[in-house]
Amino acid sequence: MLRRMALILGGHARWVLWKRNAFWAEGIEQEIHHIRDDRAALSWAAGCVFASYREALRSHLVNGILPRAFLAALIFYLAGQNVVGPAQALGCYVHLSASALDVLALFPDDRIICVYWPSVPLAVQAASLLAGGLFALSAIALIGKKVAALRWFALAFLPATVTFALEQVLPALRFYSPSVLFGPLLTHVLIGRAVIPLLIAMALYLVAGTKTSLDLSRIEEKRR
Amino acid sequence: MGRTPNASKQTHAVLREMLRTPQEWRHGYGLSQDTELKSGTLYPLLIRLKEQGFLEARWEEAERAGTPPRHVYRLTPSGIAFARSLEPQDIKRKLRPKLSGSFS
Repeated sequence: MLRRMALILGGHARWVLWKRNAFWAEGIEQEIHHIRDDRAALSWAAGCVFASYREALRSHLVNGILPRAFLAALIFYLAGQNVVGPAQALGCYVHLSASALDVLALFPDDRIICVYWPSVPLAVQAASLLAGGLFALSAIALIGKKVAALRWFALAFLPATVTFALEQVLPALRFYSPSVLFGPLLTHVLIGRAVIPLLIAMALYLVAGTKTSLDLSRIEEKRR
Repeated sequence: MGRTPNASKQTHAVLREMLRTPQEWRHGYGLSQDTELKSGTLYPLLIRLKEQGFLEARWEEAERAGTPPRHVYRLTPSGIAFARSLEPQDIKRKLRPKLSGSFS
């Protein structure tokens, strides 16, 4: 039974990787036949499935224009989310009309702005703007296949997360309104500002996270 | 721009292990047992090392009847040179990430 499951998993790993890299797809699957212990074979096969998905995804993101464009679009969306709040606050300060403010709202429930946003300290809004800018840089770098995409994203992640938390907590404390805090946390905001960034970070790591400063020419020079 | 080497701890473990017997062809499962790396970690490393030209891979006929051929791996001359260049005191410096350049 364990052996059978291992072979099924190995076959699946082969199928996942086949179009992208037939040599490795076949090699990964056939290795399972040489493991005599059934339990070890099953464990090995499960790892092979993980490896095959990882390699297939990396190949898609590195070589495919559409997957990379989709990922860049998601990062631009994050940039927008971080920029839109401060932009709305600015709109409130300069007394933009309600309809103009609505244009800045990504979602219908963002239209509480002139009560909510001015209660967020300017420093937090500035950090949010910074995060938005860094996310935008990350998306642009990704489109250009630059490894710096990961660096910009990592730099944006911290201010984005901190401002996300503060933007939710501070107005809630001010208005003594748990709904202001928990409402957005349980809706699109949590997905948009916590779940999606984590997924993007994982995908970016696959694409660009294996770069290091290993400079082969310097190593060769040193050896000589 | 070609891919530059991954210098993770796991990659070092694989390179060090293969450097012990550089001329010998090694199986994936054997490497996994010697380095204590799971297949989910080992195969992406092997794929990357081969892409970078540090590893060569070929098929080997099975020793046991009724089993299919399997992959075997060994370091290329540049892989051996690279693995040898990874002196313990250099590893920390070389592991410092440099997030620049392009991926391919």
